[in-house]
Amino acid sequence: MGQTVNRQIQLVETPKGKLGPEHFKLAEAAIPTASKDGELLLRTRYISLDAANRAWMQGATYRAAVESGQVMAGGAIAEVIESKAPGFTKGDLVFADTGWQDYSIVPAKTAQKVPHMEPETHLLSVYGVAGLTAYFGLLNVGQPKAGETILVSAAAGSVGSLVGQIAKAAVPDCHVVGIAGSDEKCQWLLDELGYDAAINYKTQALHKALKEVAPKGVDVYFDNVGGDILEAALFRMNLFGRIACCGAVSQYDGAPPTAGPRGVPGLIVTKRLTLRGFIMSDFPTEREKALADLQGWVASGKIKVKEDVINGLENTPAALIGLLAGENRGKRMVKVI
Amino acid sequence: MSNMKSREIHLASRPDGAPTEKNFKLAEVDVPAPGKGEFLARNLWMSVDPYMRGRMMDRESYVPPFQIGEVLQGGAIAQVIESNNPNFVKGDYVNSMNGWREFYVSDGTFVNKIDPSMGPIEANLGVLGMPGMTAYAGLFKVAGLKDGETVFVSAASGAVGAVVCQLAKAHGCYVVGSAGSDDKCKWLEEVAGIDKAINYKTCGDLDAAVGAAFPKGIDVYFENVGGAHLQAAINHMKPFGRAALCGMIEQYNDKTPRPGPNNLIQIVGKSLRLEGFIVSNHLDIIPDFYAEMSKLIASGKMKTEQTIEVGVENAPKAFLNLFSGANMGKMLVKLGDDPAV
Repeated sequence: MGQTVNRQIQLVETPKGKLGPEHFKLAEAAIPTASKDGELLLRTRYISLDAANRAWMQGATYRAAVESGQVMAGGAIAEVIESKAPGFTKGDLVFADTGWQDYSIVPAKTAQKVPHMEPETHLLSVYGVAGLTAYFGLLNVGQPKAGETILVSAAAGSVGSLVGQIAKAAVPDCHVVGIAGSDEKCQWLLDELGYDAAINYKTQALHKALKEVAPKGVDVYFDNVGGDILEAALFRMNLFGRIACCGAVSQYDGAPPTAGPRGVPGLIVTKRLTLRGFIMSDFPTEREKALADLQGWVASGKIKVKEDVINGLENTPAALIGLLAGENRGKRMVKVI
Repeated sequence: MSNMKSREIHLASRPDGAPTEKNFKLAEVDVPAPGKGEFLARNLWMSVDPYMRGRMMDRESYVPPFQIGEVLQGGAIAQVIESNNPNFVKGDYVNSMNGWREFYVSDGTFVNKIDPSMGPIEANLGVLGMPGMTAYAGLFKVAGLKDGETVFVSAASGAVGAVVCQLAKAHGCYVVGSAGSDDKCKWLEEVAGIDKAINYKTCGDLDAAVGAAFPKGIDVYFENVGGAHLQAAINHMKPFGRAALCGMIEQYNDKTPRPGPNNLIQIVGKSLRLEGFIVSNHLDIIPDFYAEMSKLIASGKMKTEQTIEVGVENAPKAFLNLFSGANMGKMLVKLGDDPAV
């Protein structure tokens, strides 16, 4: 490698509106060393890009907010270069919040050991946050039953591209409808991912289109976007429907909305709906079963893993900005080395 | 009996927005003699409830709409005054959905006998009835309340809210309720014994008031109101907080649904759970409910407050007052003297 500096991408200022390249800068620092017990020195290999990265700039969520001047936070697959912690040795692979940089010092207790596998990228997609989020959100939160109608927004995204396929693999006779932002993506949902129907929310009237493609109403809505699409879904939900609230990408990038979806709380009461937010770490005891199921479906071809790999740490800001604009199909990540 | 008359309230027209007296009509009808297997009952008490506003609209909902020109329906407590049905004898107290009228004849379908020893008979329309069961189902079944948690209740002095507050207190919870007058707040703090009451009309910034009342956040929110209350509750809920969505009194009269809270994104960030519910989907709670409630009533830990109008002709007024917040506790209409026979 011979690299002597640690390249870092820092957040220059907290974005008030749309995220742009001006909010980031590339800086160089010395390569740190693990000096305290319990620390790991990590070399970042693949950085995961997620809409949640943007949410972290907005304030504290399930993690503290990323402040200006800090290295941008982000999870990655990384290699242990030096370990001061029992249970980790040089050469191990871990998933950890390394931030957007070549090298990082991370407390071992926050790093999760992952197996070496080919392709390594699957550790960030189907066997990573995206796959487990899709799995738990659909099956544990949404609790779909045979024959039900399942609606997925941001269906071509990293999570959405897996939700539809997991539904087809795990729920007999389900009718799966995806919402995406271009005709190409919609066609991709139908041709490649096994969706029964797709709606382009940018060109179609959402309420009307939903009525047509979900004639029996919606039983489970996997919500990645919030806002207007959540509202349209609320009006089409069946009695006792479940909404798995996974994200609200429509709300992350820009000023907060002045008003929320109509029908809250009215439709939730009269239709007796459940809206439940979750993140994949809410289900620690189910993790192994989930990974085993996912591995089985990948092996049998029921799940096709779609990845969108960008090269170069320096391209990470543009890759996130593009993801928020919806340019990715499947799981987006940055290959650092 | 063929000469008996019963006065009853018909739906004259469907309200467009807030209902008015004009949507109701007082009518007088002949009371038929009870036939084979039937009995005649005289209503003593009837209930008016916010959900009835929904039934005045011609739309699909969880109960069929009221029909124009026909008598309204709702919970009522009656006494049997003449019977050809062996299961209902003269003098029995019964609970039915045949409210908004003075007399009715029934074959017993959807009519339940009540036990007058459990409390005042009209309590079967309140703490021992649908509002009480709603409170119990929402807190324990929907929200999964655990002893010692923090609870926020909107419309806290209403028929459901007042029971929610006292049930939660009986389970060692820290309870804050909102209500629309100083008198209601005083009742909540001094009689119902909650930890803090917020007068949402005078507190200024509701969100700040809720935040100040919950320095450690809210575990369970019991929603009866909608709008700014829900928004404030979401802002201050703890991670893994639960909201039982029971009603939205401020929005029943809206002509079109109004926008919801703009902070739903926090549902994701805090892994919140919001569930709408209707008590009739949770009737499995009834044995536990009676067991706990009769104990609380007997030990004086369930205070009841009611607002009473007298006479079926005043039932529309009682109903309309629900939306102006004129009621304290359960709103009832007294239709006849007890005993009726």
